Amino acid sequence: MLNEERIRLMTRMSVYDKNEGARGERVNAYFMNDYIASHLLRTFVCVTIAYVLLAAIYVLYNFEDLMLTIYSIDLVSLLKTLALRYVVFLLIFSVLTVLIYYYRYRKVRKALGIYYRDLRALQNSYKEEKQR
Amino acid sequence: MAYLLEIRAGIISAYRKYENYIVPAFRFLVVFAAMRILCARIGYSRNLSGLLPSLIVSLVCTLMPAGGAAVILGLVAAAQFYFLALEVSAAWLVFLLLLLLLYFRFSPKDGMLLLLYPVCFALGIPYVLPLAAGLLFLPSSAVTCAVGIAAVCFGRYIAANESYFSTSVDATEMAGRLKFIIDGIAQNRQAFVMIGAAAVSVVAVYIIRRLVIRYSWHIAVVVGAILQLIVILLGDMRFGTNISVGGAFLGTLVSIVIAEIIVFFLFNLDYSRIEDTQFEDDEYYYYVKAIPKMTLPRANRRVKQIYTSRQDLIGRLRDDPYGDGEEPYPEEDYDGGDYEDEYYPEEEDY
Repeated sequence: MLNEERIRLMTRMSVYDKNEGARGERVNAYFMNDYIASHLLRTFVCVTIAYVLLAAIYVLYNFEDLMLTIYSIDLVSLLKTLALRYVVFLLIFSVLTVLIYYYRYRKVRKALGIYYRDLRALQNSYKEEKQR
Repeated sequence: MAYLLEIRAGIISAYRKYENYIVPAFRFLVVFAAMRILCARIGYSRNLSGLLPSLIVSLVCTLMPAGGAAVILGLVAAAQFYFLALEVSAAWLVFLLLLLLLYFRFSPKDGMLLLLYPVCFALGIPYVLPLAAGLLFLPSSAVTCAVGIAAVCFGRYIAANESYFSTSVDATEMAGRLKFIIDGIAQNRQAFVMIGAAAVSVVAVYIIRRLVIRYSWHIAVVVGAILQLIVILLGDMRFGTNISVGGAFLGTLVSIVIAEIIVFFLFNLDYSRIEDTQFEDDEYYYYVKAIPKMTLPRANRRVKQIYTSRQDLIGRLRDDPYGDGEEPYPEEDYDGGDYEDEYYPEEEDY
């Protein structure tokens, strides 16, 4: 005999497993802070490379002017400006990363909660059947 | 309307039946169209611009997520630019790398918009994509729209200055050419105005469609399209972007029609979430097709009437006890017979 309630549970779990299962397990392997911190680290690397690229483009664009004024540039203030811009750039993307991955972590945990609830219900259903 | 609903039912049943073929076929067509447009506009290498490379790239991209397909199209464009000039290819690759580091890093799910932008630009209806993005995705899709517009405008700028880049130069002039490319991108006011218009439209459509009001999706489409047109017109007046006003108006009208078609098919049931799944227990193998139910937010309305005095309330109840704006015993209905039998409606009418 087909058990409709069981089919419903198994279908929902199977759909979750097919679409989000692997990602859910991957995310669930971390505590929230660790998960966000690992992505912050990746953001740091990406943003640093991007900033270097943008700085290279800036140098290339102003190459002639820079060559003419290279001896009269106040190097300390230039480095300060570059560092400040880098910090602001990094800060913007860090905040974005925290917001995005916090939201994703919560979403995955919520979906996993439903999955485990269904799993328990399925287990109970089999237990009840055995006892009968 | 009944005829339209019949057509919709027919299309939906065909979609249900052949969903496994329709979705990849649609993706293949979009990528193939984007490839052909790319080859027509910036086809600087004959070998890469043929039909066979387009077919191969489209087939490969069909098997990938939309974001990955967009990156592959970007690499094909870089190869095409290489045959025009090394500096153009380098600038495009830097643009692509920046996108990978700062945008694709967050793995957005609306990559299909990037594939559709070249196609919609070629058809003269780029205005439909911000509307579709607001209807189907999150406000963050405004960034995807911005990336799509920037990429298409980059290609157009290079194609417009093809003769400048096609002459060979020595290494010392390369920096000058790079400066020319960066100038062209940074001073492309048309692109900035279109990006601003798209961003405003995506956010407006998203906010309005989520409001709990009647016809919110339709209102969102119309308001989003009008806002987009207004920003484009204001931008044209302020910055002299040379956007064809007639073209923008016509494109917006067509975009509204297409967005309404999207609403027509997506509003009642989200057929994009149909799931085919299979599993087994001790006794059976199950092959299940799960179709999501229609769940619409229902407005919880309570009408509260406030009367200034008790006399006012009694007067209103006497004049209009049912609250339907009609008198309880209209004189023209009374013909001298048994009034109660004739006036009060049958029970099933309630």
